[in-house]
Amino acid sequence: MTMTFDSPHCAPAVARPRSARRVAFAALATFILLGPAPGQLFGAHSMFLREWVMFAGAGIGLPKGRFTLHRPDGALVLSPLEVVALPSFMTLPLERRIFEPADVKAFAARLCGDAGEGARLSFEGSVATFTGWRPLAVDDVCGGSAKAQFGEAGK
Amino acid sequence: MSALAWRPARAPIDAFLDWGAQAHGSTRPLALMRIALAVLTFVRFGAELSLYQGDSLSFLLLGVAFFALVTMMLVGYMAQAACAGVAIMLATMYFYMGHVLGQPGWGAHHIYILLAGVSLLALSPCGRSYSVDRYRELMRGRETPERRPLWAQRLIALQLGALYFWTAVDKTNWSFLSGERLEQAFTWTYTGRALEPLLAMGPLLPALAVVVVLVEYALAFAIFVRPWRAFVLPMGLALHATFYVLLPVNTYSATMMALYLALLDPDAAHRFLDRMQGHGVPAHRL
Repeated sequence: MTMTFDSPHCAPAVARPRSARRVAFAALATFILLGPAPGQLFGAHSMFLREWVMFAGAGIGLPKGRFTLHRPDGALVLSPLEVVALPSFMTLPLERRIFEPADVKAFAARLCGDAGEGARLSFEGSVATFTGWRPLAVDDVCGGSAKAQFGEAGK
Repeated sequence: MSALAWRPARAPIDAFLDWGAQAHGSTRPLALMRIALAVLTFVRFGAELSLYQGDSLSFLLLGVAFFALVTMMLVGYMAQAACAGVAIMLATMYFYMGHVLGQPGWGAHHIYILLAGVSLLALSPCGRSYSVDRYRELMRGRETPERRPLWAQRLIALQLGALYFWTAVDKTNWSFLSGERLEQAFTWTYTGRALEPLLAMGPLLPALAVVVVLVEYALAFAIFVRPWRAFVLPMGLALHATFYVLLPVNTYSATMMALYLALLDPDAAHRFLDRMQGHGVPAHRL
């Protein structure tokens, strides 16, 4: 094995095998540079191969549009934030986000519990998904959201 | 295949390995990174691991180990060993507690980049400058040269380049370039807040998205081109400052900014620090 000093400016007390450092550098550089490839290019995810997909999921499952509470004495239009009654979506738990159309009921759980008999809650707008905003219209959020379907993205 | 066919491919690989494995220079940027990452580790986990938070003996032990090891890392006492200890602890927190047990936020990217940085510092002579280790060596009358092998510093630089490249790859699709993913992120952060009008930026969002992707692709490669660094490093720092004030990135931006020290010419940084501290200028001596 070739033994060499690291630098003419700073000769270490013990000569180190230069090739060992090259092998270690090559191995770690390969891990750093190509580690994200399996997950990001081929969908082969592993917690040991970090993918650099920062904020890819930020906002997923949040609606934009309007909820309408149809009561016997008239309709009341509410924003999504008013429906969850939180100061910001950042405090909304993941289990209350809308990943499937049927999840609108969980999102509006507070109103579905309080609306009372004779009131119907509808939603018209779109929902954030990994492929963009998907249109969604639900005529009866509390009673019939399981039948609703996402529309095509970008429409 | 003939040996000739390999030549074009082997030469760049050899040059790359020489660039990394044979790097030498001042350890001051590494020491500054060590100090910065120790502070950031305190900032990120100090409150969560304080002993009053402990609800079990194992959590208390984790807290005690955390404060002992990060303090050693900060002051540079047995610096490489301290960094290795902090790296093992961060790995436990990221992989086991973050991913296996699902502790909120502990499996996030800002923890991983902290883990990567500290792990690579553990492979570097980060205790050669600005450390108790150096002070003790000097008190014993030993020579303590600050020029050491910097292959781990090169790996930190590669980690920055890889991060920029792969995050740009993740954004190279219609849902990001159309501005929709930015709008979704802003919906999450700004709905109900004073800056909610940002959501109505309309055509500006696709333009902003394109700029972000172009800057990230550019940074992935340009940070390695020495003549461009005078322009590229401020651009990258501005990008991270923007992320820091616009999005809840936690310690991510500050960690990335600290790791930018790996992109500096270490000897130029050393000379700069000497000049700033007045070394060699008689008027500055006490």
